[in-house]
Amino acid sequence: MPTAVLINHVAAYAAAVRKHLGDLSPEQVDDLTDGLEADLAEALDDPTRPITGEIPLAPPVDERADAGSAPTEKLSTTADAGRTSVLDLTARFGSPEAYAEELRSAAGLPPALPPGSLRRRRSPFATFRASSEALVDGIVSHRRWPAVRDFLVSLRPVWWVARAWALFFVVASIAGIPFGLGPRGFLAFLLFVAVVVVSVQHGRGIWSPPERFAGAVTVLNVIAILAFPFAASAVDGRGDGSTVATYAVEAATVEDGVYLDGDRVQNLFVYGPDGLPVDGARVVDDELRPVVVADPDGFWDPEDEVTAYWLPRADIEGRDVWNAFPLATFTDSEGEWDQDAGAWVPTEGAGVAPPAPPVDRLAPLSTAAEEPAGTGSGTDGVATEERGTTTGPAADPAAPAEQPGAPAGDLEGAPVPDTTVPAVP
Amino acid sequence: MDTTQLLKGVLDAAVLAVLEQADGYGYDVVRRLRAAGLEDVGDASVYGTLRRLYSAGVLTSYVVPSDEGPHRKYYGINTQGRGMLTVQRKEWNEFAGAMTALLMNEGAA
Repeated sequence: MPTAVLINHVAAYAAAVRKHLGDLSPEQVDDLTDGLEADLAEALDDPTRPITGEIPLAPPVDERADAGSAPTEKLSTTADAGRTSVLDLTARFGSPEAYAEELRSAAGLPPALPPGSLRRRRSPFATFRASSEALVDGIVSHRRWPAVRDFLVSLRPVWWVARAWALFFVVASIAGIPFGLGPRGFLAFLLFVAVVVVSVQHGRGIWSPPERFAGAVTVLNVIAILAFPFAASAVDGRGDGSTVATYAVEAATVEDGVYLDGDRVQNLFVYGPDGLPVDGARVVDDELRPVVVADPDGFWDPEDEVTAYWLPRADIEGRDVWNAFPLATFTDSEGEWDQDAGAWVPTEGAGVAPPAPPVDRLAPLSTAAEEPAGTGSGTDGVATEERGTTTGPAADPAAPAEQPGAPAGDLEGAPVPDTTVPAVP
Repeated sequence: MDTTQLLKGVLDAAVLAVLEQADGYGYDVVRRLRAAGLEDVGDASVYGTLRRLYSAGVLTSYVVPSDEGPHRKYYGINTQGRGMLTVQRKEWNEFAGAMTALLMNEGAA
């Protein structure tokens, strides 16, 4: 007798028994039928087994096999040396239904509800239950099912831990315990370990609650299943947060332009040491990079609800100069899209002029180190000058005083023969 | 006489007595009960009884890996189980004594 065939038939019989226990909780069914296949197989192989009236249904196997359909609950075995017979498992063990009934009554469980009983008919899930039972039957009676089932059974420890994790997530969420991928903090960790131990010990069948709490175990299992996606997404959500933060930092560092207090600077106004506005002042940084505030996309002015564009100045060779301030601006109603230039240009005739400075004049710088009289900081239009304390303006003048008026008349030649400009262009 | 019905009342004591001698798994207990003379004992009755006694807390359980075939779930008797067995022995002796006396009297009469 091929052992695999025997096992498959025994598994089919065991599946039929389980089906008749279907109204019990899965834990109860597991508990009742754990090892059933092994016991059935051993009982069939027991040479001292009692004569229970099993009939050699077909002494020569071939004749009966050809004669008709092979009942699933019959198996072929060499009951006696040199002779093949087909044994009827129901003759040896009785019908699966009776076997299940005996099992549950001996275990002290109530008898199965008859199909179509009042309670069953009332159930709103009756249809769903019937169809899912049919589906389960189709799966468990498949000949590959025992192998799949064994594989799934071997995964049970994973579920025990996952269940504990999900339940801990629920408890931690309610109690406000910090919870990441795992517990945070020593006490939380202890609680988590305790939940895992209880879950695993229960899964191994070592710690079982009293019979009347079996329903509570099922409820906890359902809660764990329902909470699992939330626990998983909560952990996942933390990952998203860090991604967003990284992106924000990157965005801030790559943005070009000039910023003050987090706001983008739209224009610059340069005042000479005499306190008067300097038109066309070109601003560079210490590496001779032009300081540019213009954005080719323009800027949206939410107050006037228009988009404004900058108009560059031009040097004597006709090149656009973007760092000569103040820059003239025009709105989209005053300009048009120039396909050739690939930029917004003011419409012809629209008088686009540099804006007026915020104040007509600032207090002139003193050439000496004395405190200039009448310096009203309230009139200062340039924020950077305002940053200093009262001693600031007194210390500043020395350096700027060396290059008075240089930017103003500087539109002529590109490299300025000035000692303050770095030799490298 | 329907010994199956008789067995139902005493199966707990019989299973406990078998396990008192040595731990055993499902079919092993069935075989030892039959070897002891209880030929009519039903497999499923024994398995169910083992589960029930285990749930009642009078048996211990452990799994023994097997080289051939599936693992075996062994049952053993614990202190509460021995206490239960002692009580049932006493009850059985009283019951059996009464029944024996009754039946012998009938036969003698």
